[in-house]
Formats: sequence, structure tokens, C-alpha cells
Amino acid sequence: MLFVSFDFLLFIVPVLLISWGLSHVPVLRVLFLIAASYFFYMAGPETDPLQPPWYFVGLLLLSTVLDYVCSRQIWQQRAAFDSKDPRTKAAAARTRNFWLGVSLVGNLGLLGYFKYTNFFLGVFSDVAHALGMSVVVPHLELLLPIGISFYTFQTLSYTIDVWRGRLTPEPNFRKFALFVVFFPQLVAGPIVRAHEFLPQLHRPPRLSAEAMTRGMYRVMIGVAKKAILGDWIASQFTDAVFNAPENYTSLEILLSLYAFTLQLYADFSGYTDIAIGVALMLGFVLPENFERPYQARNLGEFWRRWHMTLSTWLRDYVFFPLGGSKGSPGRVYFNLWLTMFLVGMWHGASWNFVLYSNIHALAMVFNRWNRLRRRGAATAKTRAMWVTGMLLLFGAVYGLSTAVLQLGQPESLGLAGFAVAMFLIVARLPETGTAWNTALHVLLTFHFTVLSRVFFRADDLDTSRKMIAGLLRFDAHGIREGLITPAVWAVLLFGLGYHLLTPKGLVDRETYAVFRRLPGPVIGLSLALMGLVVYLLLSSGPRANIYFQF
Amino acid sequence: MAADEHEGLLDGEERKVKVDLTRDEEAGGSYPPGTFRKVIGAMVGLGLAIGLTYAVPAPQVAAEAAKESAVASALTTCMESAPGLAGLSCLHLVRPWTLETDPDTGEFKYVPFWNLIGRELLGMGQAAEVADAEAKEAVAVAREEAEKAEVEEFKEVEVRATPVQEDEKVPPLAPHEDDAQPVEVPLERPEALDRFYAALTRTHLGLPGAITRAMHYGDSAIGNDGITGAIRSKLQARFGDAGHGFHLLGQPNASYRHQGVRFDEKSPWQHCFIIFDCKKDGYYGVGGTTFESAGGAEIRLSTAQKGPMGRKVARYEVWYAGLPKGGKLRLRLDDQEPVELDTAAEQLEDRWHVIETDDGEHTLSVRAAGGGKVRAYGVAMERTVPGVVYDEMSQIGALTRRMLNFDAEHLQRQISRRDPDLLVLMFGGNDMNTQGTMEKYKAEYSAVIQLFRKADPLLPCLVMAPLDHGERDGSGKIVTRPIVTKLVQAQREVAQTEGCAFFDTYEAMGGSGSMGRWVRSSPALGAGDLSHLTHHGHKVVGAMLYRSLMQGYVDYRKRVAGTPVKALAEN
Repeated sequence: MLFVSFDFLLFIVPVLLISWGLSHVPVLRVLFLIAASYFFYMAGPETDPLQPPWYFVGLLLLSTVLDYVCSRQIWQQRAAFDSKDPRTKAAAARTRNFWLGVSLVGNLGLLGYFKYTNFFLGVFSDVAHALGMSVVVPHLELLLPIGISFYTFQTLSYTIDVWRGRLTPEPNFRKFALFVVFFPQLVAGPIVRAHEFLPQLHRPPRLSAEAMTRGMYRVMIGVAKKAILGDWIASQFTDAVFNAPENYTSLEILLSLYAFTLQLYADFSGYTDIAIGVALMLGFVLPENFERPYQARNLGEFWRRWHMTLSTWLRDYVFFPLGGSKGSPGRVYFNLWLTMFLVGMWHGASWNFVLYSNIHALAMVFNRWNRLRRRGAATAKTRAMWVTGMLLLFGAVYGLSTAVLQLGQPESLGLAGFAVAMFLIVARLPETGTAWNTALHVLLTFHFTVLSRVFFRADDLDTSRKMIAGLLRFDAHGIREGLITPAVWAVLLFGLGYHLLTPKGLVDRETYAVFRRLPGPVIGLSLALMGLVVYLLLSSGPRANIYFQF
Repeated sequence: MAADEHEGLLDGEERKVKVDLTRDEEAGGSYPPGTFRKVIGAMVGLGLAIGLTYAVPAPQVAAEAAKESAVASALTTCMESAPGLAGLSCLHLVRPWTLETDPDTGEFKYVPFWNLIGRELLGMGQAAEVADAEAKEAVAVAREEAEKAEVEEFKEVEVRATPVQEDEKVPPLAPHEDDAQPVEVPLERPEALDRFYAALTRTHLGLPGAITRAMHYGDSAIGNDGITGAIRSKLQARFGDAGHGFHLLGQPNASYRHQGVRFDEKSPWQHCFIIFDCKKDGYYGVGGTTFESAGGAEIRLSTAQKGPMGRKVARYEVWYAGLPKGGKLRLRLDDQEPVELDTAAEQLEDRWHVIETDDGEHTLSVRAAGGGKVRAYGVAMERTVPGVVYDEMSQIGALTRRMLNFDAEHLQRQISRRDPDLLVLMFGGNDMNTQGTMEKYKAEYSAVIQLFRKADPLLPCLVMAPLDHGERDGSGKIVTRPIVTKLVQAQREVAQTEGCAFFDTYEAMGGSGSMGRWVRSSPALGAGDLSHLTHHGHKVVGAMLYRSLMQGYVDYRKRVAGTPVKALAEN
């Protein structure tokens, strides 16, 4: 079910009323919310292409039962695992690892099958062709179960936490089931950890007028972001450019990248706002997922502010277990690269995402190296190393440009030169904390994310190539008349200015202070007006959240 | 410990939290009085606002407006018809849930919680799954079409060493794999193209100098040399590459980009594009854009470095104007000594200059060398071997009638010089957004065809219908704009009146709602604006037209098989 839809309005009003009515009867409240969540998952709209039928909910149920059972089996070995008898301990460790393995294989197996099978088949075919072999691989018509990337990570983290001894297993199946399927965050996050959610089911629900008002506020902000800055900009501009980049000028392609950067953030953070707001009204607190990511001063900070529940998940369950920042520099850089590569690949299975993931992972490696390196007087040796490094970077980018992006020689040389120039600028520009310095770093980081979005949004590598070739054409045709209406310009500029310039506190405190003074009926009428605007602007109806597809 | 505001994602140390879920404080929640006052008030306010849309009656104006497919335009129409408070009745149009049914299927247009209620309880699932399967089939077909449309290599046509004998007959056409492929829509009146097919036969037989030349004019549908490039590569792969054809001296717009040629604008010329009616003398050159410079402007046109086509040129023909106080035009082929043309004349006149060279890779520089204003139009790049030349003459943003901005005598001379064997016209995309009757449109289109054929009234012509143009209806479905079928029919009638062949692009795409299907296919064939095609879509339409043309060619060859080649040559 989509949040910004009439279906959801028909759904949420009775759910809220009944849930509040059951707040004195915790067992029924939990059971009711489980039922509502399953209904939410199964009763989606008619989409094109069709979404999976309702019985795909079986996978969700399977994942729930699997991790509930595995975690209990792991926990049952606790006493034996703590035993001083090495044989008992070893046997317990084997059993624990076995059940952890069952959970990992079960969850990641399903995720891998539905999400990555066709990609790996394609990779096999591409590699075979590159080696001169003629191989025909099948293309499976797989339906990606909605939200599988989210609920898989959520249940996995629970089992791993129990295995690591950081969490006692949830004794009550219904509470665990609600943790897995809680509808506000089920299909597109935030990815909630067990230690954040389950304790809330062991306490009385926290319902208050403040929570209601703040919840409504987050919902309204979310709808505005999702429908206007997200869907509308896409329908008015970005989709057209990304569908046929060869029809657009260099400047139009560049603008579409800015627009998509705004659209993606508005779409996802808007969805998160609605999820958090609805959860608040139901008496739950969900973790934040964004913290003004486009105001980050470097890429490390960007990823701490962007889709925080995914990036911290991979930090906690991949980066730290691999050794984190401890160990040799080479090992740390590998840990860092792998974690960020997985962050990127979580988003999609295609060559585009291989490139996107590596660009961000390598930039993160550079970011760490640049912050930690010794900055002393240059010696002949360091100069030689710099020159060698720059030549290698130039060669790598040039090679990538010609071989993968299939750009012409002048464009490839230009791109390689640009990469070297940016490397040197960022490397030679330490963060001093002054206003201008900060602004410069924010702009550089922002533009890095804007340009790398080519691979994130383009449907395939061929489209990415066309986008990049179009950008590097530097044609002088500007923006054609009528392509971007004044209204779209206004929304684009407002959106970018809002996210780049406004301090979070202004929105959180000042705007909210105004909102909370509004009487309830006025808020209702405002919501109705907003619904009307969305209805008129998006004659195609609101789209699914971009992150649904992940 | 709170993270540093600027700390990176992977900078901090691991923080270990232990949570014990065995303790339970579970108890009924208590909430202070007034907890739900505001939120219930908001629900009431929202409910009243929605209820109002059902409470207002649906007056006649609203019912009329509701016939429009887009909600926003229906509301605007209604509000204009019912000013003031009466406009409240237009709220009828924004009811979030109505029991309207689809006239085609009889099913409800909107069913809440569709995946459960509509799909399962109301039994709409089967039809939806069939439609979904058809869409997937369309995707597979699209992928196959796009791959089929790729031309990877071609063979040079062998030039005959012996002259045509008096009694030599046209041989039967050898089977070709392309001719076995199904044709989406056959040409209407293919016999109108007999002269073109005769030229194509001469080319096919490898007669010395037998070049078949086609000129394809159109609006943005043929921009980026997409459809035209696809047809060119198909025809050249089969009949030989006789050169890239005509190219303007600059890019009048971003969508003027040709395939199979390298264009480098060292210093731009000032241009005047026919759709802006910016030259009162009507001298726009054969390509519809005139270029001027008092000195310094320079472009270079080179053979392609990638792809199978456009790798050689043997003849550059520069199209320019002689004009009072005209300056110098400097042409330099590769590294040779430049040739300087004096463009001064007593009055405005059409001129050409030909540079012949060996058949190979070359670059021609065209520069305004000062001494006065120079006016030029473009360069035709050809070879001397038998083959096909297919000119892309896109007029981006043009209404059909804008072609009437040409000076008739000038255009007559320009087309005579180009000496085409086929004229293709594909307009209509922009005409869909104008007001006016179809009768008026037909008269304009006829006038345009007559203008282009003034030099040669029997010049074979082919009218290519516009692409399907979609819009979203109130339920979000992409449907064909109502004007599309009217325009297609009008063009069909014009083609018949003027004795031209007709290709129904709209029907070939799949008819009603096809743009929606093309947009959704993978790879996408239709662009997001629901009016244009993607790179893949261009190839598919190009391949469709090619197959239809070839069907006509096969029939023609059957008809002329056994007749004297010389008679064919004199056709």
C-alpha cells in the first residue's frame, strides 16, 4: 500500500482509532497491529507492472518464523556456551553457528534469489562473451517481494544480536512478529533494530497529545516532500531526460541530475517522515533515517546522514566484525571498501550499481586516507609518489571511460583530467572549519553525490553512457524554452535551497511551533487541500517510493 | 556519547548495547485527557472536506468537463464555466472514490485495496495478469526488435564491370533474410514509390553511379537522426553505403545530431531556422536553416570513426548562396591547400561547389573568410559507388505549415539539385497542440507536398504518420490523445489526394494506447514525455518502416522481373 493514496487514508483512520481503543489491552493491540500490518502488505494498489500477489506474504511469515526459531535455538546454547568445559563449549558453539548459518542462508538466500539471480546470470553471460564463449543464459521472470531488502536485514540483525549475546530473544512470538511486520516501516524502512523496537512492546504505549501533533506534522511534511518535491519533479522533468538522454542538451542533463538528487532525497526522506509520524501516532518511536545529508562536509559524513539505518546496519554487522578501524591500514581500507561496496550494492543488482558502489567505496577510502595522512614538507620521494599516484588515477579513469563508458578519446581525457584535478583540490583543501571552507567542502561533497547519481538512476549502463556523453559534450544549446516551467524551477530551487541551506533546527522547532498552534480541524482541512494539490499535480497518481524497488 | 556533528560513518568505535527482553512492564497504556482531541479534530476536518465533494451536486458543466481525461484540465474547464461560488460544484470532479467503470472492460476504475479486493474478491486478477503477461511479451518483443534493428556490418555493392546490354533483363530478386520478417503495417499505395524502387533496383544491380537518394523531412520525431539513422543503416547495409548525405553547417537545435558523421563546430555560424520565419526572402537552403557569418565561423565535417556506416566519402558538395557584397568562403579538404570561393553576386542566388577526392576518410573545413557576409546552408557527403544516401532533414518544433516559409523557386532549385528518388514527410507532432480544423490542416499539408514536388511533380513521396502521443487519464492510465487518430486520418487522406504512399506509424506502433506500452517496455521505447521515442524506439520504428518499404520493393521486383534493365533505367 502506498502512503500517499486514498487507500491509505481508508486504512489508517480505522487502524488509529482501533489501536487507541485497544491501548489498555496490550495483547489485543499487538494482535490487531499484526493483522493490520499483514493487510497493509497484501492490499496494495493495482500497479503496472503488477505487484506480487497477496500470498507473497508467505515469505514474510517464513522469515519471521525462521529467525524466531533460530534465535531461540541459539539462546538455548547459552549455558553450554558459557561452560568452562572446552568440549561442551565447542559443541555449543557449533550448534549456535549452525542456527546462525540457517538464518543467514535462509534470509540471504531468499534475498539473493529474488534480487540478484538475474544479475549474476547476466554477469556470467557478459564474462563468457568477453572470453569469446557463446553462452545463452536464461532470464528468470522473478517478482521482487516488496520490502524484502528491509525486513531481511531487520530479522537478520535480531538473530545476529542474539548470537552475539547482545540481545535476549523475544519470548513472545506475537511481539516478535509485530517487530518484523510493523507496517509503517515494513516496505521501505527505516530499518529498525530489535533493541530499538522490541523494548517498546514491553512498556505501556506512549500516547500523548504532543506525540499526536508531532506525528501529524511529520506526516504532512512527508506528504509534501514525497508528492511535490519527489513525484512531481520526476513527472515534469527528470523521467523524460533519463528515458531519452540523447534528446537533451548538456545543461539539461546536468539539471536533471540536480533534480533527481533532490527528488531521491525528498522521495525517501518524505516516506520516512510519514512512517515515523504514523508510528508516533500509534505510540512507537522509530529511528531517524536522514540528517540533512546534503549539508555533509565529506563523504563519510554524508553516509552517516543518508539512509542512516542501512549504513549503520552495515557498519555494525559488516565493518566492525571485519575489524573496523583496527588492524593494518590495508586491512582497514579493505574493510571500508567492502562495507561501502555492500551499501551500494544493496540498492540494486546491475552493472550501474557496481560502478556506483565502487565510486562511493573508493571515495570513502580516499576520504579516510586524506584525513589521516601526514602533511609534512614535500620530499623527492613524496613528490614521486604523488606523480605516480596521479598518473595511475588518470590511467584508471581514462581506461574506465574508454572501455566501460565507451567515451571518445577527448571526452575520456577530459574526464580523467577532471578526476585528477578534483583529487588534488580535495587533497589540498584541509577542513579548517571556517564558513567559506565548510561551504566549499559541502558543495564539493554535494556535487560528488549529484554526478554519481547518473549510475543510481539510469535504467542501464547504456543510458548512463548516454548521460555522461551528453554531459561531456558541453554543447552550447542551453535549456530549451518550455522544457522547465516556472513552477518546476521554483520547486527545484526551493527544494535545493531548503536542503542545502536551512538548518535542521529551523524546521524541527520553528515550523513545528507554528504547526502545533493550529486547531485540529484546520490541520484536517490543510491535509485535504494538500491531497487535492497532489491529486491535481499527479494525474498519474503518486508513485511507489523509489526505495520500494530495493 | 553523541557522535561528533561531522563524524564520518565509519570513524567511530563500536558501541555495544545489551538489551534484556525478559523483563516485562507490559500494562495498559494511560494517556492524559485531550490526547486525541487535536487528531480527532483533524480527522473530522479532513472527513468534512472529502464529504463536501460528495455533497455538491454534479451540474451539467461538471459533467461536460468530466469527459476530459486529465483531472486538472477538467477542473479548469469546469471552473471557467462556473465562476464564483458556482465553481464549488466543480468539487464533484475531485471525488476520491467513484463507482465509475471502464467502458471497455466494464470493471470499476478504482477499487480500494486492489491486490486483495479487486484482484481476488472481485475476480479482476485474471484479466490483470493477462494484461501483465501481454506487457511482458511486449517487452520481450521490444528487446528483440531493438536487437534486430542493430546493423553491425554491411558489404559493399559490387560495381558492374560491363555496361547494360540492350536485351538484358531484370533478374528475379534473390531471397533476403530481412524479407522473411513480418511486416507490422504494409505501405498504403506502394505503387506510388515505383520510381524509387526502380532507382533502388539499379543500385541493387550495381550499375555504375547508381545512387538512390532519399530526403526525409520531419519534426522532432526524427530528431537525433534516430529513425532516419536506423532506416539509413538498414538500407545501406543491404544496398550499399553511398555516403552520409546532407548535413547543415551547424546545429539549429540540440536535437540536430547525425549518426555516421563527425561534426565539429570550431566557431559557430549565426543561424536562422525556418520555423522562426526569420528570413523574409525564404532562402533557407534545402535543410531549412541558413547560416551566416561575416568571418571566423568554421565547421568541420569528417567521416565516422565508429560503426559500419559513414566511414568513407569521395565527394563533398557545399551548398551556399551568392549575395550582394558577399564575402569569401574558404574550404579546406584534409591538409590540402584551401579553396576560396567568392560569394559576391548581383543578387541572391543558389550556388554549389563540389570537391572530389579519393574514396576514403576525409575532413572538410568550411570557414567564413571575411571580406563580407557569407551565407551558406550545408554540405552533402557522398561516394561514387552504388548505394543509398538517406538525408535527415529534421525541422525540430515545426508545424507542418512552417515548410511554406520556403521561397518556392528557391526550394525548387534546391530539390532539383539534390535530385532525390524519394521524399518522406513525417510531421504532425506539433500540429497536435494547435487549434484548427482537420480540413484546414489537410489543405496545409497538401500545399507543403506540392511545394516540395514543384521541381518534380512525379517525385515519389511517402507520408509517414506521426507517432502515437499519450496522456494520462484520471486513473493514471496512459491513453492515446484523441487528436492522434484524427491527424493520422487527415494525413492518410492527404497522401491519397497527392498520390503519395502512406505509412501508418501509429498503427505500426500498436494503435490505441501504444505509447503507454512503449514507455513501459524494457528497454523503454517511448520517452517519458509520452510524445517521443527513446534511442531504442527510434531503431524499432526505423526497422518497421524499412520492412514495409522492402515489402513494396519485393513486390516491385516481382512485377519488373524479366523486363529490360534499360527500360528500368529510363523510368
